[in-house]
Amino acid sequence: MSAMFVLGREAVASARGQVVTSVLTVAMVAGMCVAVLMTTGRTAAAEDAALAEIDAAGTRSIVVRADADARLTANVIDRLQAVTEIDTAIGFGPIVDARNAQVPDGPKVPLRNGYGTLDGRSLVVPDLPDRALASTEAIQTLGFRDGLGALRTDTGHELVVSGKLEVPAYATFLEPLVVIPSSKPDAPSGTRPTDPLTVLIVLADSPRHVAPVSDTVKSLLEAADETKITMETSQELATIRTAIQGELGSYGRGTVLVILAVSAALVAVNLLTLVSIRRKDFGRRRALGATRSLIVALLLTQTALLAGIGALVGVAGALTALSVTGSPLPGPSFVIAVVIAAVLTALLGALLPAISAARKDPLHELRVP
Amino acid sequence: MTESTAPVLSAEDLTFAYADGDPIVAEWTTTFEAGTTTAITGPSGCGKSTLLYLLGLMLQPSAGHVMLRGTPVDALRDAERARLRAHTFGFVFQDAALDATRTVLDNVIETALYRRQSRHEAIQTAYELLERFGVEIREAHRPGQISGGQAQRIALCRAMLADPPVFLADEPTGNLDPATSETVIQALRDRAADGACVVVATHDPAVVEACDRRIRLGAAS
Ligand SMILES: Nc1ncnc2c1ncn2[C@@H]1O[C@H](COP(=O)(O)OP(=O)(O)OP(=O)(O)O)[C@@H](O)[C@H]1O
Ligand SMILES: [Mg+2]
Repeated sequence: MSAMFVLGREAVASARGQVVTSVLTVAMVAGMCVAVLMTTGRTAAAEDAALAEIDAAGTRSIVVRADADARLTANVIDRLQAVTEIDTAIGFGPIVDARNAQVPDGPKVPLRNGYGTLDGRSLVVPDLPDRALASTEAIQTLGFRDGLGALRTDTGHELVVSGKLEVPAYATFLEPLVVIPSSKPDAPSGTRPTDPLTVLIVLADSPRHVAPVSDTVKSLLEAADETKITMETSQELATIRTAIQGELGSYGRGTVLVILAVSAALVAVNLLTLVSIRRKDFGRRRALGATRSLIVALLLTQTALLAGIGALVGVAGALTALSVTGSPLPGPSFVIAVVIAAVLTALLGALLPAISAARKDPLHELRVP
Repeated sequence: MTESTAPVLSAEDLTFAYADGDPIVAEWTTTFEAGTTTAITGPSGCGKSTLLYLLGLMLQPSAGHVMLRGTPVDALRDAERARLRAHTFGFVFQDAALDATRTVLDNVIETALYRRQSRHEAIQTAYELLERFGVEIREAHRPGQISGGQAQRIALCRAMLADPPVFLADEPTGNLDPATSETVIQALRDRAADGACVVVATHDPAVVEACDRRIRLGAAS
């Protein structure tokens, strides 16, 4: 029979003989897990939400604006799509003003040729002449019912709005957005790859890649006239993102450290009380031949087992509470980290009492009435 | 002295005083042979228990030595002395010193853990000992539910579990009726007959009578 098993069994028996201390230890560790999960687990979820929002707002995007005669052409999109750090690239041609064909003096919307893929929707729709896609905002501006209707450009061309566009956060600056999908030979501005672009949006696959991707974009724009091009990266947003991550992260770390320190202290006080109340028992064990290391090992094993139970109870309770209140649940790795931290914290708290118990003089303690 | 001829247990100029008190034991020299029973007598407070603790390596002498088979053992490392207490000494405390939170059986086999002895084997021996000393209580009982005399016999079973070569008993018959005392006295004699060195601190004339040798300590000196 392994020494670990023997020690474990003795630890279980002695924990059962010390009901109050055992229950308190389980409760303290459970409380620590609940506290960590309910505060920091929430903070972690809140941080994730905040970061997702920032990301949606375009931390990953690079926006290039060009004058119509800057020689920025649609074929650059194909080359950008081939770069691995780039999620997607979308281009828009020069603006032609358009109005509801039924309301000649109604509000105008900017009509653009679109190239590439916008939020998963391909802007290449071959063989559908004189069709346009419009965003919800554009449809409202134009006053179309059911999202369908005819458009007339100021140059006299007529198109049918036949589909709706979802505009992702990184492209909302283009609203109200009405796009003529490409590959339509008789479209107002033409559809060849040499078509001019006035707006190019490049999405890096992660905020970290914004800087290298913008360098790549710059190098691909060499053919164009630099003086007629401006480039906006989301570097500022990326900086804010990092700041928020750090801010929330350090707030979370601070909270966790306080909770862990308080818990370690509670476990220590609890066990010191036990060691003081039961000093005769530790003295007896020593007198009968237990080594100091055995006493330490016994108390630490006992604490680890109780802390393990407490951590499971606490995690189960906290996750139940979080899901009942509809809060976002922290991920499994976070939960496992909390359990490990809880057990290690309890062991840290138990170390001093265990050493104190092991140092009880066998006889002195036995003779104390 | 060679290993074979050295007495199993001896004290050499053994001196001990509790913190800032007069010596309870002063330059005390004697030997205890294997296979003998020795009664230590004397008035209450004269230091019988203290002497047993010194011999049992639970107290550190102020001066002098405790020797096992001719080798001084009082100054060994703490872990070594703990090991000797677990393996070589059987000790019966004057007040039994049981763990009230554990079952009677757990109390009897407690030292198996310290010796890394098989629990199964220890339980077998424990049942035999409990039966022999007439402890007719369920082994699952806890010491809070038993009498003082039963507690003392349980402590005796605990001390005898490993057949220790040195058996130190402090008033082992203090709470017992004459018939049960007789069982205990017989057990001590049996231990000696098996080759153990038995030292008993006692006020009980029946125990003193049954021992091979008597050592009388003076009035609290
Ligand atoms: N921890 C201690 N600190 C100081 N003095 C002590 C301590 N323990 C015992 N004494 C004193 O040492 C003396 C010897 O005590 P001891 O218990 O050895 O006597 P004893 O002969 O066993 O007595 P009894 O027959 O009553 O059991 C007593 O005077 C006692 O008061
Ligand atoms: Mg005494």
